Amino acid sequence: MDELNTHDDDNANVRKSLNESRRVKASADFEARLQRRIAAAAAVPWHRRLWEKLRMQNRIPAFAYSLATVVVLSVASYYVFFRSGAVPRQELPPPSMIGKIEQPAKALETGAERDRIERKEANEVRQAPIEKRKFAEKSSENLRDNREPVTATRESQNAPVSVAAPPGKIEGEAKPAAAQEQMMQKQITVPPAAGGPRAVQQSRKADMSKTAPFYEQRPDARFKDSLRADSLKRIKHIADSLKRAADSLKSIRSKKDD
Amino acid sequence: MNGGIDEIRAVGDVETDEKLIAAFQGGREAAFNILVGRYKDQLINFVYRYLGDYDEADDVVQETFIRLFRNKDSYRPVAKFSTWLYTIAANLAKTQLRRRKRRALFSLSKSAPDDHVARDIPDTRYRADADAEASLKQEIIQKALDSIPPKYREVVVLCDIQELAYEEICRITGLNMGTVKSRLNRARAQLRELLKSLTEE
Repeated sequence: MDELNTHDDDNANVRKSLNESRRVKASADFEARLQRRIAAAAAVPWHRRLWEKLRMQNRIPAFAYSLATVVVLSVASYYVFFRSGAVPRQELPPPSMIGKIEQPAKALETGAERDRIERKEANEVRQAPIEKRKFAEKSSENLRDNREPVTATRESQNAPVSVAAPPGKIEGEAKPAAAQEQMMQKQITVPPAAGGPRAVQQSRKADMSKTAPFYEQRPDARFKDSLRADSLKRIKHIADSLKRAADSLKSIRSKKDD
Repeated sequence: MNGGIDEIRAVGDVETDEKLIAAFQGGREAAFNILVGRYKDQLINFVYRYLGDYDEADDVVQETFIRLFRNKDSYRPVAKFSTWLYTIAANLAKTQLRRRKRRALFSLSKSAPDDHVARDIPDTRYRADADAEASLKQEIIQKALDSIPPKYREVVVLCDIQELAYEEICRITGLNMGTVKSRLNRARAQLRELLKSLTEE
């Protein structure tokens, strides 16, 4: 109680000191200056006053707008510069399936790369021993024939494919070269298809399902299909086992009835 | 603004502030002069105690009267004229205080502490009659007021220096009664500590 009273006394002292503090008064020329300011404000043209009024009414909260801009820019730049570089999560097959799945067919080489490979092959052929060179020349001719069926004439398409062996220049090389030639004859002289290589290609195209190019482009699709096929097999297996169980139940019932 | 002597006499018959402002709203500019004469010292004292700088206080009070002159029609006699005028002055003083803080924050000059010291010393032009002891007391009081937070300072100046009623303080500050009383208690408690040496004497 005494403490409260002392606090009240202290408060009263504070109030007294503040109340007794000297009153500050306005300067003598206060009203004159005020009149001048009001007159100056009244002298401002109406359009300027209107502009000032509009400007004051439509003040832009600069700090808030700057903050919002910074936030928007940082979010946008995050998505533009950081998120775009992120690699999407790859769907990996289960460990048990690795190695069982066929790898997708390699995409066809581009023109420049194909030329490079051909040049490399030609170099190898030039540097290789004669029998190898002959074999490579023949095989490359054969490949060219297969690759460019459109340029081939109708007669050549119908004619049987055969490679004539060039005469051996060196005596020592004649025998092995002849043996190899025979082997190649056997390999290369295959019975032609009904319409030649073009027809073969067309028939191949006809046999190819419409989804085949899709599989070539999307290797994961093949994997997914295989999984789907597996699940279908599993379902079939379960259905079979259920059927078997039902049959066995029937047989047990029939035995009991007997 | 430049009302004639007859006009001032005619307005002088009107006693209350509310009638004066009504006369001013009616187009009698002499009523404005009477209102300025009535309130200029009170407002200067309040704003000076709140800001602690005489020049700034003078500028704020002039701006208050200019606002009154321009926006005379926005006054409605639902509240006391003095409350309305004090509210304008308090808002302008708060804006000035905020501007000063911002200026201090962004100022690159190293002379800020010197400025602060200069601001703490009251203007000597208006205390020629006071002796050395009184002026020291004034200085201590003003320093103590400057040391407490502005939200407490505003309430304690309005209550203990301007001697306004609680209801009026509530209207000027826009706070409820409980908040005003609690702020007043806290302000007095802080001032008590600061003015201990002064009150003990």
